[in-house]
Amino acid sequence: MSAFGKVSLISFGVLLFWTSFVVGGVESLSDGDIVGGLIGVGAFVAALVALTRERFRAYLRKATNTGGHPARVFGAFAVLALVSTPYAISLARDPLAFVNVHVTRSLIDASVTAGISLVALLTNLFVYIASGKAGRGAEGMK
Amino acid sequence: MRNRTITKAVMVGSLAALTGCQFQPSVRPIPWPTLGSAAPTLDPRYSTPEPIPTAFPSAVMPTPTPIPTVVPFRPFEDLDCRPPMLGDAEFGYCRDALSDGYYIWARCSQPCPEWPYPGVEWRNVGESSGLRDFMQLIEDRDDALTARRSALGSGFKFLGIDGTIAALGWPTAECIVGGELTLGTSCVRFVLALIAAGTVGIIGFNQAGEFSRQADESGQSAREVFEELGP
Repeated sequence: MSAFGKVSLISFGVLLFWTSFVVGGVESLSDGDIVGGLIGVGAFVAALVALTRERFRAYLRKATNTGGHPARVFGAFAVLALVSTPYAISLARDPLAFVNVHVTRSLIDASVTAGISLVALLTNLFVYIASGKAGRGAEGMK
Repeated sequence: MRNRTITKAVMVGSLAALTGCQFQPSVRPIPWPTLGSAAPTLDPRYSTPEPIPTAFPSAVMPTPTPIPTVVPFRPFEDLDCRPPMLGDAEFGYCRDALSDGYYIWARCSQPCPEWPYPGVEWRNVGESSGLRDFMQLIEDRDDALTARRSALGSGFKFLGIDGTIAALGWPTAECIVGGELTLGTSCVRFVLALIAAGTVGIIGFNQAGEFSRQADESGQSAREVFEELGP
């Protein structure tokens, strides 16, 4: 698997851990939303279990080697950043941001999601450019 | 020979100019009137400069006016509270630990009375139907804020799942095979999964906005009841 493929999979792993397992899973269960919480925790645990299967790992290798994979990764993280960042900003401007515990927790959820999206977008972009240069350099050495 | 003659002529001419030829002006100078021969006196307003005022006229500094201290309101710690208690630093209630009454507090709609906590007003009230209304509104507001957080969390969760499906689920879709658009069953399934996850995410964000409005309305109603329960 290429360096870009590995980085993109780790990025999605971190994103799913936060949005699905922590925010949509554990927090929802603690609020009494059993169905929503189980969907969140279940999606993340299912992904972890699937990673232990060779068949799924082969599928991921195939997925990361397809032609449009970088574009889809950039698109997914760009959309996530575009949605979560304005939410984080509006919650930070909320007068209740550091007054009400629910609003403070919402602010943390949105800020971390926005942070993960932006960092993942930039990291994937950097690795894509760096691996592209390395690839061109290696071709030049041949 | 010729040069010597010219030199002599120049010397004679120069001598004549120095001895006999003087400039005689044809115009006489005009006698201008003068203010007198006395020495000019200076205007005392300008001749005696006043001392330049300095920023610090004396070594003793004036005592600065104390800046009023803004104390964040922590109602459950600042008031003698005991259960039942609910709310936050802007709207809430708790039972008075020292009496049978209740402490209630609400964000000021106008400038608050003079006291150190900014933006919030509190009072001690007894049991009444108005108090029960106030408590119910505080519960409604708290429920709305909890639901808002849940809805936002749901939105982020399904958006994250949607992004992951979009990025990693593409090989299963087989929407384009050999450069041609197939629109087969797997492709339709992939697109439907994307639309479903995205829609649930958008619904979550939409509901979060709705719950936020509900919380604001409950807060405003609580403020009105608070004023009705006034001293």
